[in-house]
Amino acid sequence: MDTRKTDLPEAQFGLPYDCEPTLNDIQVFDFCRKGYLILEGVVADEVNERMLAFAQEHTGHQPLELLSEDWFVEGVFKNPQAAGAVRSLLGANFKLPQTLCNHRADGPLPPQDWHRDGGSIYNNRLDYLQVFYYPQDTPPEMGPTELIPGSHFMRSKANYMGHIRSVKPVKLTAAPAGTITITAYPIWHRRGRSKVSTVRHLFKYNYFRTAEPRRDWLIDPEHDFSWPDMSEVEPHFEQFRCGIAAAELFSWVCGEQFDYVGGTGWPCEAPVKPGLCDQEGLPAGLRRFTEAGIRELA
Amino acid sequence: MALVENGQILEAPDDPDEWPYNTVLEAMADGWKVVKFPEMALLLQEDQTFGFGCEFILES
Repeated sequence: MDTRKTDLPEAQFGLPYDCEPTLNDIQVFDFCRKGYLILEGVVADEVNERMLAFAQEHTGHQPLELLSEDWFVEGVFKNPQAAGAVRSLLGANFKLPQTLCNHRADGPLPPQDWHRDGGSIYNNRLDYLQVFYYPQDTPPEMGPTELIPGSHFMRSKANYMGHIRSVKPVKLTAAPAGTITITAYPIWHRRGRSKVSTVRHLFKYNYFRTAEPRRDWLIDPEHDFSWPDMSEVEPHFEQFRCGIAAAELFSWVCGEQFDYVGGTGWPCEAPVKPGLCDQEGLPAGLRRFTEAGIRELA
Repeated sequence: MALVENGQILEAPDDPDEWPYNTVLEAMADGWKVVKFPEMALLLQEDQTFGFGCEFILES
């Protein structure tokens, strides 16, 4: 007998779900570059309060009871802003999470070692997302998750990453209650230092893609993808490497062919954008001009 | 950044501005010796990087 089987009411384990996308071209490209998107305070106060009450009564790591609760599934998994962002990144009919866990941190605690979660796949695809949800205000002293922007492209072994400890290029996800952070699964992260005697709750779960990739979000046909802004992600890896990897990932999400041409070709940035042309190497479906320099879109 | 003193790992400040030095060069100028340079070999294949490329180990 498999003692791991649940005896719970019918739940919405991994069902396909669809909703309206909420992200635009810039936001999807930014996600590809940085590997995360923080949606502050998007879950309703009432849901956050119920989650906290639930978490105080259910201290287990994997609170599957929540998957049978409509208020949870509707308020968190199908939260309009979060699900809209997931819909933008994974396409239509993405699969809802099959499970979730609560990473409780009974502070005070030292920071975790840096790690990327087991099950990370390093490729140019975006087939699944890892999501964090804070049901309570999570200020810096409560040990919110720390992320390294752009690190989802960097392979490493956990035992190598673990001893690095404090680093400069960190994004702290300190945020108000109801904040949902969507991440590219292989991003480097850790629980920050908790300096207070409080329990921090962090619910963590995954969504999966079912649709073929295509530019299926709030698109702007006039958006200029040439010489994109690559600021904010620290150039701590190989020069331009994160930008090139981000462009390749974004191309895949758009359903476009990425043929990197090198040099000042896409996605190299430029302080001043040359006008009236698309950048060399920009995928065909993202171009605004014909090869002859004629505007394709009015 | 991590500090090891008398065989104990000391938790460094989270804020880089509170670190004893902000660059390796600053630490060297204050008498620290480099005992290990970054593992640049981990970066040789640029589309499959495995390391930060900036991890020095210093001793004083």
